[in-house]
Amino acid sequence: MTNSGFTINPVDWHAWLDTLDLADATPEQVAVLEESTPTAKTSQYYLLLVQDVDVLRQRSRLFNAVMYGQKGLSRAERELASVAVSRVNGCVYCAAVHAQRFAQLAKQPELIQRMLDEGVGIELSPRQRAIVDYSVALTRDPAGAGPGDLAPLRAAGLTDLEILDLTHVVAMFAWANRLLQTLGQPVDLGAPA
Amino acid sequence: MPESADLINQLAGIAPGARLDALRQQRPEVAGYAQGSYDVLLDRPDPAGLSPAERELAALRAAALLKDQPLAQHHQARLRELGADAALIAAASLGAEPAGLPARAAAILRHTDLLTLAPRDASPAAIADLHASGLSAPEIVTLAQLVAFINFQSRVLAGLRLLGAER
Repeated sequence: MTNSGFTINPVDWHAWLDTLDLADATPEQVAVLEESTPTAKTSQYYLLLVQDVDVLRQRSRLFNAVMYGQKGLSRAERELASVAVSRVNGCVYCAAVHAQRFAQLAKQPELIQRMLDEGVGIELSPRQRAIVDYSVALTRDPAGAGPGDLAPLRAAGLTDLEILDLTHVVAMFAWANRLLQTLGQPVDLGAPA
Repeated sequence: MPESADLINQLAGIAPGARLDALRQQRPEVAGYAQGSYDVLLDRPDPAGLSPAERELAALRAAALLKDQPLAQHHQARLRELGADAALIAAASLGAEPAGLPARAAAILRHTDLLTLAPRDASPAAIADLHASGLSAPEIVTLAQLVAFINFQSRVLAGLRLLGAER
């Protein structure tokens, strides 16, 4: 057991700033909450972000296109990259949520638990290794990334579209992690019964 | 989809009809909402909350910290158009605290540094600092979205430049 601070338990999130009272929401704000995610109207995160409704509308649509677009990189590999980025950035909330999704999609709960506990250097398949290494390089130092960061993805057989999808996921979590880490804090709800 | 030109293509050196333009068109929603995010955060003439100059200052600082030269130059030019002082632009681009900056702008720069370089070190104290410098909760939300967006954009640009250099 390591004491990494990361968990795959269900997590909640508490804002450090005043959130919008749903009773005061404009029809436009309600519409953007409803299209963002099914639980948005009871989520402190969305009730905080909806205070800039135009930005949340664009961001939610972007997030859903990046994570759920058809074809290209598999859903499970998008979740793997999300967890790798969140692990490197230290976003406990994002790492937990997306580790749960990876565990469901890839049926590899032990693998993702190890990544939470031990970090991104754990043993992986060559394709997973290439995906994680690229995600880490682009997260840590985008300007410093070079041809040597792309070559392993090609060697593992990723297509142009898969690499574009992966790049979008890494970028999306550069965004998501920073919101969740700087506007509030995660709450560990404990292991499910 | 927004009508404006695609800034990511422009900053990654992707010409209309080029291989990478065609690739990006396989993900039209991603390209469209990325540009749409830029439009609502940084390309509105009279936005509520943070002023255009405050937004451009934070965007320039984040781009400079991320060492994305074309992105930083884009925001330097926008700040010049808004009449910003050359010394302020230079200092913000170097990661320094410009002299004589109003408390509100100085707090925006400090928070931009924290969000970009050390988001895991954020705390309620950082939020209190912003409030004490006169930023409201909705303005702090906009600032976080803006700086996080520049962090998003820099990764998309870096990935596209790698693909563009591949052959």
